Amino acid sequence: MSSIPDGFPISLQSWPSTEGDPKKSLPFMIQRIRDERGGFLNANEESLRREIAEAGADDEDDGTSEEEDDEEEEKPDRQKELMKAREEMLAQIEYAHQHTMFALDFVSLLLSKDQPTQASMTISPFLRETLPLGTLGADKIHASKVTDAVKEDNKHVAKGFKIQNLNKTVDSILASASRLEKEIEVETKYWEQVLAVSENGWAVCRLPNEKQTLGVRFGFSEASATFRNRSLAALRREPDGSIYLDQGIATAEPQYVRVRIQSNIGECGSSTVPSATADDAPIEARIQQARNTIFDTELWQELNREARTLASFGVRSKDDTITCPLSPNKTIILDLVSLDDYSPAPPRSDDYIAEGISLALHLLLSYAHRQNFHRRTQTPAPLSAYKRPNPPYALLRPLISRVNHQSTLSSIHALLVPLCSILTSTSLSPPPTYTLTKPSRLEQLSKLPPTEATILSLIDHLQVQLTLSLTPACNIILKTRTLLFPLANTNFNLTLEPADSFMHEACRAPGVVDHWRKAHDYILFATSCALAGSFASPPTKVPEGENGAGGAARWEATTRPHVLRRVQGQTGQGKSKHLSFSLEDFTASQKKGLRLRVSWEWMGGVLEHMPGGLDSRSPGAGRGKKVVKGEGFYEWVLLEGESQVVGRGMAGEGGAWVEGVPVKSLKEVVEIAERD
Amino acid sequence: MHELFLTAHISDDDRPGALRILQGYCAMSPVPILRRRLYWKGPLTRNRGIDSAFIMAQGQKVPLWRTLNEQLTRQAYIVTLLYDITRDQFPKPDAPDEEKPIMDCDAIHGTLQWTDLPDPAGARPVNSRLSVTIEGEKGLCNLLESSSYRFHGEIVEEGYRFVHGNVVIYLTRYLDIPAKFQEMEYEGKPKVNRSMPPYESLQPFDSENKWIITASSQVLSANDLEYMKKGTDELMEVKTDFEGFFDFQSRDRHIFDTRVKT
Repeated sequence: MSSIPDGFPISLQSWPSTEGDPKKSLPFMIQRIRDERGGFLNANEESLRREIAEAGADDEDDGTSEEEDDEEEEKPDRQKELMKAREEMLAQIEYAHQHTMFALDFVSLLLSKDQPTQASMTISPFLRETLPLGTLGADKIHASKVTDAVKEDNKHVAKGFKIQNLNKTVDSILASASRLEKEIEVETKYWEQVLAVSENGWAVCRLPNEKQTLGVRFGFSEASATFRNRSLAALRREPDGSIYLDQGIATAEPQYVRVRIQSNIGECGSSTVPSATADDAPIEARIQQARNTIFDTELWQELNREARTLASFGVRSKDDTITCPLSPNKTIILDLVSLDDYSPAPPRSDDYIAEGISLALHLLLSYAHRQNFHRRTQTPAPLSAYKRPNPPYALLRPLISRVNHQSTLSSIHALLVPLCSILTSTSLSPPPTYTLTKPSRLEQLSKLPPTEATILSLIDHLQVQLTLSLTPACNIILKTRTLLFPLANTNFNLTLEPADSFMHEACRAPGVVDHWRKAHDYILFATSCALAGSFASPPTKVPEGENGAGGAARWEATTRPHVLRRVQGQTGQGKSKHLSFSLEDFTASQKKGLRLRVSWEWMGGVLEHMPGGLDSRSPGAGRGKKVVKGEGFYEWVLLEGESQVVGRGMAGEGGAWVEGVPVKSLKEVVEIAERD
Repeated sequence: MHELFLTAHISDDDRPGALRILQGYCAMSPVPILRRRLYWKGPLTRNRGIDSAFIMAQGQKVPLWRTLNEQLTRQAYIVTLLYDITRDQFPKPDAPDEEKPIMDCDAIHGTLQWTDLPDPAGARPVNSRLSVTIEGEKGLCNLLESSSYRFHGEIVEEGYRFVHGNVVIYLTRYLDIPAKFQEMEYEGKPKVNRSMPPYESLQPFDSENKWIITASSQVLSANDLEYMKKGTDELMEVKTDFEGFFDFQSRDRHIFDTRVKT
């Protein structure tokens, strides 16, 4: 019990009494003494007596009578008070005994854990029944070994740890600050590049499937759905803040549609293929490459779609290449090449053709996109079961049409240049000429934007008007028109001018023909007729009995407009001479050429009969043959690749060849025919 | 032809924003609309429809005219003639009469438009009505006059057109021609103006100058339930897309009633 501290609060107050005046009870008095005097320690008999004496002196005067009364009253109550005090004392003793027994029980129970036998002897039966022994125990605890020095040391250690952790915290904050600073720099760099991409006109948006990621739309909104959906790439950040283009599952391999020209002797031209962008190239260059790649991929797909519909025009799609005839001895070859493993070809002669075709194909795909936009923004047709057709874009079709048109123009020039040279050499006055004019479609296309009007004027309604002025009384007008639909079909509309020309009856224009050969033949025939017509006089009636020879004999037209007739002698009895004009292609010494032949011969008694003799006679065939007097021919010949017209012919009985320069004029030849 | 449509309206202040939103939504620049709308009232009695000889002379459009005639003989309707105009065809405010551009409606191509009373509201969440539109016709005023139709009045429609898939979205408002500019044959009987009043004198038909947004989809035949559903779905998709911007609604069908009241 020695370990109980001094201040342990144990109250040894007396048990409160419930009998008599509570103010005179012993517990009350003890409490009063403790309150008034601070306990019994400061109160002894002597001090109490002195206090009473002092108090008695003060109350001597007025207290005498009271004391007497008290003494009288105290005497009979003394015994009673003693008894009462005894009872109180006994109660207090009982109270103390009870507490002592409680204390004994407590101590016994406490000791019962270590010394149960000894404790059981002192523990009360009530407690023994109520609680089992050993339920309360006490152990001696070792006194703390922590000294002040240790405490001081611990304080130092704690302070050290605190300083160490503070330093760590500061370092961590500094590291975070520097990391954040670096992150800010990286983010700033990233966003600057994103902003630059946006400011350069690229559409930047959030990815539909990754809302937190920015993407750039590099494709074309009017492309077909497949390519439109692939035209969005993520702009992801590299650790250093630079951007890289993430095209997802779509191939990022740069590709390009290459155009090559192949002739009979091999490849003779190729379009320029751009080089692949380096991996460390600026982001915009990579976006542009992605755009070009998706554009060329779409171009390649559309070319393949269209090629399947143009097989009848010689377009073939085979082994990842498309071939399309360009001319009789040249072919266009198209293929899709990867830029990564492409090595440029050396310059060749037809590179410019390939380059032009490549450019045209790209322009035509852009034009097709523009057409898609127009269709999309028009009021749509009502919803119905009727499916709108989705024909392939016109990419090769315009090329074929243009090639056909150019071919037609070449054919026209190939005919008319030698024709005019020959006619000029015949000294016709005025010399025949031809002009080509292209009707302007500007008024029709004025409502379209300039770019579309330009494209449309190059590919659609390819028209040319040819005016061949033969004589003042005869002009041949040829209008050619090459249409895109149906494909590459060239129409030739032939008319004659002026409206009152004699040719309208003699050599009626066929109107619209669909093949150049027919137009070619008509032009030669009409020219022959026009030449014949220029020497024809209106038919005259020779008076009966008058000799034709003595009259003014003239060349008259016959039912065949390129043949003239001259009657010698009386009508119906004499011989008539026929003068024939013919223009034809011919081949001599493996060279093609054009020939104008004027031939004359007698038609004895049978009018308007022209045997094939002189007309079909070639210059070589004429040699060594006898010519009847009064018959003959003369021809003007221009061979391909030559600029000089050659004139040759023979006339009269045993006539000799006349060949070379100077070339006779047509008028001279007709005069010879008249004289013979 | 059956027309499915939903309408919303916005104030004039919201028009620029609405144009930008629609421009982005439809990925196209707005197509401006400016046209005269001439209303012709059908006869309540002796309604003999359109001359059958005229109908038979219309070539490929005979089925359209025949359908229209069937409807017009069944009931007296208000028929609308549409004529596109340009701002140049409106005279200046102080222009003398001789300088005002003359516009003879019978000499230019116009569009005849007839729409029926929309179908009763059912399970379909959009308005739907039968309609006939015949475009590119001359002499329509003469035709209606000869069919006993009476010119009722004219307003000018101004707006923009957008296309989103199969849905055409119109943002329009109507401008009324002041009474003093309306030419009259005699008191109480207006006639078609030969020249337009100054544009500045036109008054918004709606007192609050609201603009109407109409999302419309056309279906060739109402019997084709598959395409009716498709048209309805596309309109509802538009409605959903614009939730919070434009309040597209299916309105009370009597707002669009074109029948002549007895």
